[in-house]
Amino acid sequence: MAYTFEFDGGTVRAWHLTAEGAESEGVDYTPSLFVDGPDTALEALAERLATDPKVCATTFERRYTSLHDTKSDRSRVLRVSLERLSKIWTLADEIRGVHEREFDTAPGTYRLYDVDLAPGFRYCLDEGVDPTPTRELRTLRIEIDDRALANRTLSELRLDGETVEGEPAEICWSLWRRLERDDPDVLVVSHGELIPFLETVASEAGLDGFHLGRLPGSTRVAGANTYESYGQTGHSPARYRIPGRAVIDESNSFLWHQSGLDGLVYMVRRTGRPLQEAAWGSIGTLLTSRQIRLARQQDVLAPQNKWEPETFSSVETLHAADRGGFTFAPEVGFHENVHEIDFASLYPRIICQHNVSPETVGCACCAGDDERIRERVPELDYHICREDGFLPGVLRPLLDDRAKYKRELDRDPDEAAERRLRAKSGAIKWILVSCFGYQGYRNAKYGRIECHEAINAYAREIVLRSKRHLESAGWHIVHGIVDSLWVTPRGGGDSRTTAEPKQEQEPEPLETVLERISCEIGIELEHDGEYEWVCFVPLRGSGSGSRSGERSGTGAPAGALSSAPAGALSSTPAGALTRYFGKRTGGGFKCRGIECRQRSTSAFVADCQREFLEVLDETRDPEAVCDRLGRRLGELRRGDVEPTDLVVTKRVSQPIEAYQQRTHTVAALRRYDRHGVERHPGQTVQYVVVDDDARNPERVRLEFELEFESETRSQPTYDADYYAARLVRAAESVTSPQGWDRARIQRYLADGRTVQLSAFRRR
Amino acid sequence: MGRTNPTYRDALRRLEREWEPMRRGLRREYQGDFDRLFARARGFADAAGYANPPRPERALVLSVLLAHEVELRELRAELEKASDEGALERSGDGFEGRVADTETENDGDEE
Amino acid sequence: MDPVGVRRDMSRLALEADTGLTVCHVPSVRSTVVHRLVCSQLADGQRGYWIDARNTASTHVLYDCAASPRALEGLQIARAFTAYQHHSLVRRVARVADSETALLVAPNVVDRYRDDDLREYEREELLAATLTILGELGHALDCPVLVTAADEDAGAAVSEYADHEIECLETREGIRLEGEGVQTDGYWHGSYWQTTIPYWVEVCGALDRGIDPVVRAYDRGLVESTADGEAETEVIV
Repeated sequence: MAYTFEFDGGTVRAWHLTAEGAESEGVDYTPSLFVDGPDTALEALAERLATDPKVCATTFERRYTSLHDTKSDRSRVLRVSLERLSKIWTLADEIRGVHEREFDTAPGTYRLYDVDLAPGFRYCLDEGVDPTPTRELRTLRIEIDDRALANRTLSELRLDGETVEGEPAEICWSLWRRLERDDPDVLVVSHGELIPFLETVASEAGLDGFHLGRLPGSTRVAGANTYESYGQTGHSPARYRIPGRAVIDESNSFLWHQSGLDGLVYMVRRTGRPLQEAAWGSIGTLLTSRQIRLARQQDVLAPQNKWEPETFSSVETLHAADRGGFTFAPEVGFHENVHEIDFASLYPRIICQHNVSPETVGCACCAGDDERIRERVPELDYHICREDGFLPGVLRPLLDDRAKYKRELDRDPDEAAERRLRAKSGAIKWILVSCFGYQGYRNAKYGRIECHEAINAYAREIVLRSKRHLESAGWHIVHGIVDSLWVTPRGGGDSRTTAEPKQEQEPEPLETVLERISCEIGIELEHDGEYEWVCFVPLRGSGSGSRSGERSGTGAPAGALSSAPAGALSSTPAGALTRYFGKRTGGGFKCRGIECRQRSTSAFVADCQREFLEVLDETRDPEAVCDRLGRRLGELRRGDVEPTDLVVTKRVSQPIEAYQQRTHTVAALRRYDRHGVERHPGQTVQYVVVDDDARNPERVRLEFELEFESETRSQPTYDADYYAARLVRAAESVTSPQGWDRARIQRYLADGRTVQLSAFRRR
Repeated sequence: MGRTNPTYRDALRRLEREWEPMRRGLRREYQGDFDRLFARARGFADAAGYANPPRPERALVLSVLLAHEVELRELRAELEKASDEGALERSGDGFEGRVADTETENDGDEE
Repeated sequence: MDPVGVRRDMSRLALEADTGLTVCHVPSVRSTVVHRLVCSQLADGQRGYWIDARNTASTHVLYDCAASPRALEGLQIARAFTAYQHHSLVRRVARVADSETALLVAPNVVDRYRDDDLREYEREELLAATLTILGELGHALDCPVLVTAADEDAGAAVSEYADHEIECLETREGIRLEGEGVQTDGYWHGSYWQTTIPYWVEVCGALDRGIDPVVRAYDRGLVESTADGEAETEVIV
């Protein structure tokens, strides 16, 4: 079977892998789209399209137009076949924008299907081609520096990590020889733009016949654009195809970065998208592709637009349904002997266990017949169909694969096998993580908000049932988010957990409780981690450093901090849901949401924070952490820190004109612009803050400007005040669970005179 | 798609904002107490949010009562401990005095 | 202002005579005027349909505004997250609504038709079809259809199709409705109310003592307003 495709007019060139390389085959291909509407309107349209030169045939067929329909009869739809794949969009626009209007029918009379499918994916779907590569793929990685590409200068290229330098002609020549010699199946390029750039450079250098593909030529298949997804702005660069080789653009492939070629190939098999299209697809796109393919097997078409609305419901139902999962507020403070337990892949497992799917939730076939329905969703008015649902069918094979890979990983595979298993398992994880949110996404082709609500309702029920079991077995819940819980043996000196002062019994072994819960729920609750101690960080400005902290700090010796302060509940500050850190039993720290985990934190601040964690682990004493902070602040102020360790990375969220405030990002964007380097929303900027009070672009230096400046000794190097403030903030995250907020750190350090007060003035 | 309803925690924030004029009118020594009411309600936001009351203010009141109940239990336990140790006389006055002390201590910390 | 004593001026909002499409120009997409109108209009449990856009149908606000849960019993809500869904909902209402229907509302009616995923050619026509159907429904069912528009463009787009227009103004006293004929023909009684509901009053009930039940009912919009459409009640603790 073929693994990569090019489209030219009415034919497809499909490339099959052979033992030595690849062979191409030209095949005729007639793509189609489908139209649904009232019979007379469809007849009229068919007649009109008969004279359209783009159209080669129209036929009436019976298909389902939605998953819901599968509960009744197929609709009579018009299949429109085209001469050329590239005309699908034009025709779709004409049907809705021209014909529909000229027939004087109501807008939305024609509903279109199978319109927006990637070409390779469409071809494979229509022709029943499995694009999974049939042998190990050979790759060649080609990288170029951002600035060189921006300036259109070729003096250096990296091929599979090796640097090739010289005149443009020499570099192109080396690349060409490398392509001839290794005959790679896949080109992994640092930027998609590299493809036309190299071709231009080679032709200017007089290298006739130079080509990156297995045949001459390349095609731009999509222009660059900026888009919004889940509230985040992203940028997708232009895409190119070259004959006979799949292109993976590193700057535009989420999955490549997450799980590499093995993860990608796995997704090719499970989605039916050819490699190149799997590489640029977002997780949502990949999940949709898998759904479209499985829906097609049931004769269900892929709608172009989301016409199917939510059903009307009462205020009471809407009120009950419109909520998220259950979250236990974290108990801020230092907790010893903590266990993390979680339901692996809770949402997809709920979907499978309870048969949640767009066509099963509130299905018409079981409505009003309590004997027939499978079950009712807890708290909500929704029933679930007894017939096997679509969505479980989409997810179950992925869950099974993941479980299988996990089992294999437990059997100590060799290094290469381990890497593969992890890559594949990682790729699946992303799909599983997003399948739930996707049900609520406004443009999800087969998504339905009621599914989203049902899944949440099950999740709440499951967590609360688990809580009851754990508590009766003698465990106390210190924190919990939707699918994971942090528990500690009840009683450990923590008065708030012992409603009755009588002597607590040893809790039941955790494994026994977990097994009981897993058995009852039908979803496995796993023991995920064991911690010597865990700290949950208070929300900033929620009044930490109040009673609980002061008490333990003044009244008791430092060692006594390990037990949570008595009577703390009423005065404990609110905890941030996702900010915590802990020491694993057996070594190592786990951190979430604190500075060292954030991309925007400089290496220096992140390293210091990790150091603070170690000090806290050794001493369990916030004072010791402050002492270390004082020392690091001293280094910072003396100018002893390397500017390269102070580089901050930020994501660009909008075009420069759209920024209301003169942020560091804006300053950095200005500087990139001076160097002629393009930075789009969704990409990152990297800079060092050199003078936070200066005029905008002078506030920062870009990472690559530092080199030059350190050589020429043209100051400034960095803004010590700015970084001191960041550092204090990082220390505060570590000490605030024990009641040491910024004000208290300030008082302590001021007494020791180890730090200038200006470090605290900034936010 | 975004949620149609605010979360219970959002609702608490909104209620606190709505009652800001009351806080403003309070004498300084009561403002800390006022803030603590909402802080205590937030301490039970998980359970109250799950209850999903049509009117969140009722859950706020119940949460505050609950926090008081917890505080009473804790104080009672401390009182028993203290009286077992003989540090405090078993008299109603002693209990009152202890409660007053605790509150003063709180105020001090807030400043 | 006394922190607990809250002045409330409310009057019954009557839409009965206003069949057809009424556009209410609101100061913000988050305006709660629709919630209030729905609650007073459906107070006796009559049937109403709410076609939602931009997550306006907060049940918290609805419960706040409702004199009793019964006021919401007849209300059916469905949310649109795309223009296509919005239009489908309008068509669906056209199929299911009958003579029992007392009210149709579609807050922020224009908003979904501004989404990026619409083709230019269908943007206007789909919205026009939506508004036409809504207007026809109002006449056919002899019931008011209320839509809101929060900005000038939206207002202009809807005005063309509207039988009546009213303006919702934010004043220091609260929200105030004004419109053609509001003062004179009595379709819309001059109406004032506070933007916020005095939660503690309702929660604790402590303030109920000593207040005439008729005044309370009046406050909740359960009785007709007096001739001038205004009344004042001082609630002081």
